[in-house]
Amino acid sequence: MSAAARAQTWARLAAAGLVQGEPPPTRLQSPWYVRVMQGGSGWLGALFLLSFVGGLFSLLFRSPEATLVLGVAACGAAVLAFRRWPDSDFAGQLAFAVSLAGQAMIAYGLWKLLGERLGVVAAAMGLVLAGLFALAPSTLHRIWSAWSAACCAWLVLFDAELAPLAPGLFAAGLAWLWLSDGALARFGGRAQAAGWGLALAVAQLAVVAAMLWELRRLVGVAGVPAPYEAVHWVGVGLSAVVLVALAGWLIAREGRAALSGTGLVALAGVAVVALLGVKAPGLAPAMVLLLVGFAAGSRELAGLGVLALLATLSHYYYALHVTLLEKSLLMAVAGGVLLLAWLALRRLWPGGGEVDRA
Amino acid sequence: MSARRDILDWAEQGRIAPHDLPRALRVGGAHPTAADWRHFVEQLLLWLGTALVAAAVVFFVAYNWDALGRFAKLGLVEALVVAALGVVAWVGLDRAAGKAALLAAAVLVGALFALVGQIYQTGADTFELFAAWGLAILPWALVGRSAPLWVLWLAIANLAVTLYYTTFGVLFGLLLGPERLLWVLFGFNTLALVAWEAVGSRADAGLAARWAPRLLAAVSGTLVTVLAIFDVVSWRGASGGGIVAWAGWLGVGYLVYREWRRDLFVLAVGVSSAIAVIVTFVGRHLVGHEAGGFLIVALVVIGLSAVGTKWLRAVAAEDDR
Repeated sequence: MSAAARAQTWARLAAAGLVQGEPPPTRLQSPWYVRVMQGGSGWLGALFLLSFVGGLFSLLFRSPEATLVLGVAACGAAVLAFRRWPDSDFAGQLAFAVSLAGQAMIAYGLWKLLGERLGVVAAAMGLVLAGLFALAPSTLHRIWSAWSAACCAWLVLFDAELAPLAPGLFAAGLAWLWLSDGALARFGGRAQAAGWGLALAVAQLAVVAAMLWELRRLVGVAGVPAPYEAVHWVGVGLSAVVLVALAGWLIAREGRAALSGTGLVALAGVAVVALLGVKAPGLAPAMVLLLVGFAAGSRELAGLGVLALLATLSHYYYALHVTLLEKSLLMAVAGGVLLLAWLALRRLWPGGGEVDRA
Repeated sequence: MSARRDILDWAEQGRIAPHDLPRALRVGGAHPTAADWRHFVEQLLLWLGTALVAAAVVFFVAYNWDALGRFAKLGLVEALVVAALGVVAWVGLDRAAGKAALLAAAVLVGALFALVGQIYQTGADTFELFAAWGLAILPWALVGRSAPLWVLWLAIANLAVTLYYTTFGVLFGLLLGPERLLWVLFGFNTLALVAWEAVGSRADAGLAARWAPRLLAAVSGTLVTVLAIFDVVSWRGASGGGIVAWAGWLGVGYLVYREWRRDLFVLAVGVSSAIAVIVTFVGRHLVGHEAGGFLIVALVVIGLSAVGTKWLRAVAAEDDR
């Protein structure tokens, strides 16, 4: 955002009595691609650090307790560095890499100490990550912690045979974190970091969840057990409900009654995608990402939603639970209805200037 | 759209009371307006609908349905191509509907070629299908002035080249190794990037959006980075030209995207590339001897990324003033 645009925003807020005085000096924030570069480098650095520690203290890794203690010490040192030098790029990168290496050691220690039970270890690791999220005041580290914690939550659900519920639950959480006034007012920047972590998890699950469903069907010699199949349908339905509810909520927020012409067209379009999502799991959560991104004014999140949609559609080609002919018919009907909705929208709301107030 | 980021930053600095934050986001223009929503919904319905219909045809062709005769299948796909072109002729190429229809027609031509190969068993190699498809839609890409259509064309061309080298690589593995393919792809994508920057800078070209040249720069940068890494690790007698090309790419990229057309994304690609090649070099000479080597490499990675981040932030600050 340019300095002029920023000054204009400040002036608007001042006129509404929301801020006072001169605008604060600009704090430069890293764009997403610089954060990706930092994250990738942090990962690489952590791998080499782990190799160093492993080479130096190879005996230590034979004791889960010692590995756990070393991991906790590494994470503690990282938190201290984040707090002591919040503006230093080098300290921040070093702390990030040390924290990642520490987390790997903690995960290994917990895995051995808690009897290699996936659900229990994932739950314990999720708690560790939640603690790191709260203690380390670094946006990149918080996004990483939130994403990792979401992955742990998914593993807990996976272990309990409830994994299909994850996309819908996470999509609902994502919408709440990004759009709820309460979440923003209470948690501010932390809600943003958690929202990004959850967004990455939703984008990932949009494809991974569908793949796992396929895998589950393939490996099940006697078919998929009935309870798991039921959970799958509940999960798919949950994602669809979240998508339609979000669309309805957004229409209401924008001041258009859901039953007005324009509201109905928008809602119908979303309902079609939600219905298609029943046969193409992942489509509804990807669409939630796109809608939330646009509604929150985040081009990056909307872009992630578009990528997730494209990835889901590409993966759908390989899904084996429906034949290519059925998929083709489903997509042709859904696409045709969306194009009809587009035509209807142009007729119902010509010019684009009209706003139906509820 | 980035008003949201500033408002949240001000709230974090304590300049906006937490309970005022939601209202500040509304007043500060962080939420889309009614006109923005209208545009978004319209674009979403149009592009998603078009993508689903085009994908449906591709899926249908791939199913190879026996119950439908060859002429019915060919007629169906051809009719859809004609219908899409009819929409283009009707609404024109300046409107989103025209661009979407032309993109759909371009995808459908690929499905048509696949169908012809499927029905008549032409014996053509896969790369020939992609090459023919790319040639057939090239005139549309030229007149379409549409970034998505050009990106589709470039993806098809990349696939055709890759499949060509994969096919002949099997026959003459020693003559056409992966390094040769990487060189060809690097040259092709870099030329495409240069052409895009030259033409896209014209305001009337309809190709002004930055996402496409950024994508090309990322592809070109990744390819030359891999070539440089091949040289660093002396992979299967690499030619040695990779390092030279990589250094040239970084130098020219710096001049172009730092001085001529400021683009932080491409500069970040350059920084990432430099980190990858330097770390490979350091790692090759230090890792494997003793544990301390790993520590040095870790510190090099962390140090380089910290310096890179600092520099990128400084460049961003110049833009911000």
